[in-house]
Amino acid sequence: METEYPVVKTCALRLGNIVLPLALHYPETALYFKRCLVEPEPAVFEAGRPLVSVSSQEFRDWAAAGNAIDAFAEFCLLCQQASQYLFHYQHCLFHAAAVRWRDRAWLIAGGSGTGKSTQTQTLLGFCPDEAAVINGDKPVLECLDDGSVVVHPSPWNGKEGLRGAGAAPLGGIFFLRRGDENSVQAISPRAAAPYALLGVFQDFRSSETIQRAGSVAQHILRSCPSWLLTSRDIPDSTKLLYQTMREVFENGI
Amino acid sequence: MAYKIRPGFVLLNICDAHLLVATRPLWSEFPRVRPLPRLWAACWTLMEKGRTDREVVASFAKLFRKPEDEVDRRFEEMFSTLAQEGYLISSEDDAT
Repeated sequence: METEYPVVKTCALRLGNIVLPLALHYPETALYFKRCLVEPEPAVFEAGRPLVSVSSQEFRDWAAAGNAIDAFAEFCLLCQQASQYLFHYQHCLFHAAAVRWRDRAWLIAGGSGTGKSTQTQTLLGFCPDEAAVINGDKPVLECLDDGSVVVHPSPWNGKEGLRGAGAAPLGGIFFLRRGDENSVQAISPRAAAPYALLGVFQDFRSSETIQRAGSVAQHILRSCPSWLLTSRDIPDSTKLLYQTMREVFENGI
Repeated sequence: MAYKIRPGFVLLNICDAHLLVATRPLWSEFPRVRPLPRLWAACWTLMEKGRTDREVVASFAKLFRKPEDEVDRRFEEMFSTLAQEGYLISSEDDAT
């Protein structure tokens, strides 16, 4: 007989401007969300409104991959669920480190292991009084009707736990990759499209979610400049990043 | 040779970039995103709507006002490349 995981607790989580109704299977999972928990309006838990929750099947798949089933597992799995929910409200989770500098949010995006956190921490060392981390791994991006994007904190801030600063309008995105040289190159929205699409955190399982991710990626790319940051070593590549941010701020694009 | 598209891909246009995106079950076999030239994307769209490769060639021959065999020669590279990469299934492969 297959293991079932009963819901033991409900609570409400604020991500960006959206309140998500969570159904938890481990009460301790709420501790991971404590900075974002809110007192929900009764409507959030109205009958018929879907709850954000991990299914028993997802827990079983997680266990089959050799992982422990506990509150941390639920916290990780809820990231995917939350991202799907946010799509319906022009929000998404984006795989990047988000730094607030001079009242703008700057994203350092890239796959796991490309050095986002190291770039982020090095950048903070260049301007400790001016910069702060909004989120170290998956900030919430809110796409506004005027075409702009606001970057918000989220509980999924990576293993280094980089977080702290409040929301800010998106200033630009650096798509980070490792290479044989240090360089920074402005790229068009068209050239940045594959990187941005893969940055939008979603499960890629259905045509519908892929279409939605594409639409969000397009909104993000049209809202701000993008660069391809190739890093051979730190801090030299981080200096290029910092210099580019300063140039944008002082001269515009 | 006749071709048809392999199910499990979604063609997106993001900021004028045409991207063939693999759904998650195909991630172990295919790149997650494969950029396509504009013309290839137009052909893919027609094949998604159920047109055969012959019908696609005929459509473009009419559009470009060129003989079908000339368009066919130009498109053969596209069809064979996408078939080689696994995005299209040829009638030979399908039979096996």
